[in-house]
Amino acid sequence: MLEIQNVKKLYTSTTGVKEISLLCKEGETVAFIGPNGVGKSTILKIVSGILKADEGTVLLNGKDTAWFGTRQNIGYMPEHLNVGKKISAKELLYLISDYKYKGKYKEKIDESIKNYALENQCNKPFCKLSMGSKKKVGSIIAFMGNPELIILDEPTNGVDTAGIICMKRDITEAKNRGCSVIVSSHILDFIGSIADRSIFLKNGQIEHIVKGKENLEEIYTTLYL
Amino acid sequence: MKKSFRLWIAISNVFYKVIQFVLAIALIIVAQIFVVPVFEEKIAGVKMISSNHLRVFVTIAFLVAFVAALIHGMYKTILENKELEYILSLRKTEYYLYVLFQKSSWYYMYMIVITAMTGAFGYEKVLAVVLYTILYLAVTYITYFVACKQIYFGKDICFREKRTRDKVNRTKVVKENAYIELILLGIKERYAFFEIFFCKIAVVFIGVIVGKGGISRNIILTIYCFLALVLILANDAYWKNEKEKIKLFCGIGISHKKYIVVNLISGIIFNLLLLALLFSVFSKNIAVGIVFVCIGIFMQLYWNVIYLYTNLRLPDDSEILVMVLYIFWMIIGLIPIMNIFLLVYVLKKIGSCWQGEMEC
Repeated sequence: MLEIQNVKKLYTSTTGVKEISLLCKEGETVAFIGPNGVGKSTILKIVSGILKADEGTVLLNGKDTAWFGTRQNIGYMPEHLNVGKKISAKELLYLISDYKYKGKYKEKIDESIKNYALENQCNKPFCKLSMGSKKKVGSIIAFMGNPELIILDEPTNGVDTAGIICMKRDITEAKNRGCSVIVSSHILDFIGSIADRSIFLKNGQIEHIVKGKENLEEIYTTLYL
Repeated sequence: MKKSFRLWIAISNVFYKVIQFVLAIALIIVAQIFVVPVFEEKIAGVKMISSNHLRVFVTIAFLVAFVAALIHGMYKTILENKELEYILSLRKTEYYLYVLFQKSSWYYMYMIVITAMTGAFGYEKVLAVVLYTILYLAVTYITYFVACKQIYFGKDICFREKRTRDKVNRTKVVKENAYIELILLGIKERYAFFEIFFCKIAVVFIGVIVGKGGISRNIILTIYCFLALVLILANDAYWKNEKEKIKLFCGIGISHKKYIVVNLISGIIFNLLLLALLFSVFSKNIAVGIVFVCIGIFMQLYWNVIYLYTNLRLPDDSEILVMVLYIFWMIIGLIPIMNIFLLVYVLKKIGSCWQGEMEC
């Protein structure tokens, strides 16, 4: 279970996250929705432990996510991933398997490469892949090792239909295993099809929470347009 | 250590790193043979202060400038790689070693200058190298942890980039004239690259030492031309960054002549202006000064055109071919008349590439 308790992170007096509290149960998918600059990526970075909150704590099954040992149980797909020029997508995935999981899950990586239709791309340097292909590799990274918490920052950017279908299937499988999933996206249809709860952010605060599959577009129009 | 080294090997171009290492060793030897005697002679000639004290002051000044550049450079590298560190689940020390390997060129530059400034030879030189290496490791270790902490707390320490950006935003003339804005952007972006910024500091530093050396005008001119060439070639990182913009400029119909002129002016201001001022102070001769400026502008134009042609014409993954071609172009660039013919030929080629944009 993921507990976000009174998290606050301000870059300036108006930008950042003002105060967010949330409980995400095992097997639940929570989505953050909102326009650019509303604090979606900031809250995901705080949850992952990459960024320190000014106030508040984030606990995964009672353990602080900022603690190094908790990282093993978190799968994170960042908005952007910078790696060197030479390393290929497959080499990167194998390297993560070696470093984070002591060489396990290599067969699963090969299977995921096939599922995401990355066979022709996986031997090219990662930095030269298209945005969609990079996101697909990011998705394989996030789901690798069956983590307890999966964080997906803008997972659908530039991804083709096959990739989105595959991503949805991976999210459903992870949920069935009891994994909590936190996602941020601008694609409301995608969120509507995967999220158990959708949280609308405004000015760094929770503005509205929707359970189930209500009409997200209508709520978005009312809140922001 | 093993994890960090393996990651570095997986991510870097080993061939390029080997060449960099060999060049660094060669430069250390060249500096020992040519720069050290001049430096020793000059500091011995200063009467106001003892040579040992002067050496200490110069070393401290260098270390302060180096550490300032180092903090900025390390911060930028760590910021760019923080997601990679996270998904690889690297421990702090492993990540520090990886950053250290990744930025090995800093250590080479540091050692080239430090070994040239420590006067002793033999056993004392070895001791100095060991002690300065320990100092380097201590400084980078502290810098690394400070930068990691700043990034973790979401604080920005890239003062130089922010300040330059604010200045550019404030000037009214800039907002009204796109070409002036592009020129200022060209200068600002060169400053944003640690390698280029540090190279400029090193070139100016060597330029002052050479100028104070009391050598004949022709030798100063040759050395200054060489320094200008080194600085122009250090702009490599800037041109790699320009690659995407060139495609964009082609696409939206901006003329290649205007693009070349804008980059020529920003290049002259960044690479040559300060060197030309120093040269005119030290040479005390207008004619020789004009010769240096003319050679400098030609070199700037020649290499701008070469970089532009390379970016337009060669595919992204042909690094070794690019390196061989640069060596070839450098040799041609040193041959009078031939270099002008090549410049005109490449300019024409760029024109047709630019027009047809994606046909090349």
